[in-house]
Amino acid sequence: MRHRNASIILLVLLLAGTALAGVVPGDKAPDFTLTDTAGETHTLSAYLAEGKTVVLEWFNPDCPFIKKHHQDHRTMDETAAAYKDQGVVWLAINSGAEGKQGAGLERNKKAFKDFKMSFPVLLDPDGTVGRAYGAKKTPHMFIVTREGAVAYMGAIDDDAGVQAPGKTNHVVAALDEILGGKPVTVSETESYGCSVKYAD
Amino acid sequence: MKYLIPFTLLAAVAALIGGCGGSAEQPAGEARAVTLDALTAGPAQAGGPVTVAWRFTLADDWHLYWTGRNDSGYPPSVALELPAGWSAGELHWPPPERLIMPGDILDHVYHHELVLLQELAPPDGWDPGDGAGFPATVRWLACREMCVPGDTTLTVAFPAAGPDPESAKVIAAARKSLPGTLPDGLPVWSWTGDTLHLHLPESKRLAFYPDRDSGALVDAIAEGEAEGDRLQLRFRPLNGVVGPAKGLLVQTAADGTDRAYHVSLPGPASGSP
Repeated sequence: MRHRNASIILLVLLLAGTALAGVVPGDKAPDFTLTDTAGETHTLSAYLAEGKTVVLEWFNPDCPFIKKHHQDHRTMDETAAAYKDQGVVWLAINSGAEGKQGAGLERNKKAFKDFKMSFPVLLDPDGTVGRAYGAKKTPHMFIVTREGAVAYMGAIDDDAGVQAPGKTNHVVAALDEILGGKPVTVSETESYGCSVKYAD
Repeated sequence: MKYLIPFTLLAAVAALIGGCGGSAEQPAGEARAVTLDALTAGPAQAGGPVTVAWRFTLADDWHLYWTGRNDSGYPPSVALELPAGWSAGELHWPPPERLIMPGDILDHVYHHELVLLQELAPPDGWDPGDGAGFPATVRWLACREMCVPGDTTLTVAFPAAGPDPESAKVIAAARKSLPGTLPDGLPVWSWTGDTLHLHLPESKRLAFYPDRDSGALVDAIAEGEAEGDRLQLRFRPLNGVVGPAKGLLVQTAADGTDRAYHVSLPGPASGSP
C-alpha cells in the first residue's frame, strides 16, 4: 500500500511538471532558488521577506534584443540603477539549455563583464523557472511585488526593433505605480525578442 | 495595356550581420540565410497602381516571422522613400505556418520563401515610360537555432521595359495565396463566458492565427487548431478585457487544400450575433 501511494504521488508530481505553466498578472509568483555566474544563490522569497520588489529579466547575451538594451544602449542597467534605492532588486535569468545559443556559465560570466552589468545573471539551464513563469522571449520582464504577486509582465518598452529603445519604458511605468501604492494601469504588454532557448 | 516593369536594383542581400554571437558561432557555409529581390507588375490600366512583390528566399531551416502574434521574433518591414505624388499601400501577407518550440513557444512563420505584395499609387498623369526610382529600406529577423537581424537599403527603379513573365507569375501566385474574406454569416460564432465557439462547415481542420491586436488566448498551442469544422478558443482577460478575436481562420478543406480567411469578431461584452 505504501509503495502504491508513493507511485501515485510521484505520478502526480510528474504530471504537474509537464502541465501548462506560466503566470498572468495577479498570480502568486513562483518561488525559486538559482545560482548566479559568481556562484551566489538567490531566492525570490528571501528578497520578498526583506520587503523588496523584484524585477526579473529573461536574458540571452547573444540575442540582438538583449544586446540592444545592454550593449548598444543601457536601458536595463539604467532602469535598475534608478530604482535600486527604492528597494527594487533586478535579476537577469538565463533559461537557455546547455549547448544552446547564449547559454552556459562561461558565456554568461563573460556577458556579465562585457555588458558591465550591475545586477546578477542567474542560470536556469533546465528551464524550470522559465517555464514556471511562462518566459518565452529575451527580454521578457516580470515584476513581483513585495507581497509576492506578479504585477507586470511583458516588454521592457514599446519599440520592438533591434535599433533603439522605445519611448515608453513599461517597467518604469509599472514600478512608479507599484512603489506609489497605485494599481498598475498596464499590467501586461506583448513582449518582444528572441525565443528562450529551452532544452528540446 | 497591361505590361510589366522589371526592377533593376541592388538585390540578393546577405542577411548575416553577426548580431547573434559573432561570426565564430555561425556554422561553416551558412553565408546567406535570406536573399531579397523585388519584382513589379502593372498598372493594369492607365492611372492604376503598380504592384511590388518583395520576395524573400530563405536557406534551409531558416524562417521569417508573420506580422501577427508570435511568442518571439518580429516580421519584415519595408520603409519606402517615395517621390512626390506617390503613395504606398500596406503589405499583404500570405498565411504562415505554426511553429512550436520547446517552452511552449508558438510562432507563425515562413520557411523557404515569403512574398509580400504591396500596391503603390503613382501621381496623376504618370507615364511608366517616364520612369521613376526611390530608395527602400527592408528589415527582417531570420531565425534558426539563433536569430540574425538583416537589413538592406536598395534603389527601386522603374525603367520602361517590356513584359516580364517571371515577375507576373510570381505576383499572380502570391495574390492567389492571400487570405480571403468569408461570406456574411461565416464563420458561425458565439461566446459562452470567455470561450469563443467557431464553426465553419465543410472543414476537415480549422486553425486560428491571432493578429497582434487580438485578445489573449489561454492556450493557443492546444486550442489554436482542431480536427473537424469546429474550434473552441478560451480567452483570458488582457488588461481587463476579453477578446476580440482578430486574425486568420485557416481551413483545411476535404480535399486537403488550405485556405485562409481574415476574421474579426468582437469580444463577449458585445454579445453573440
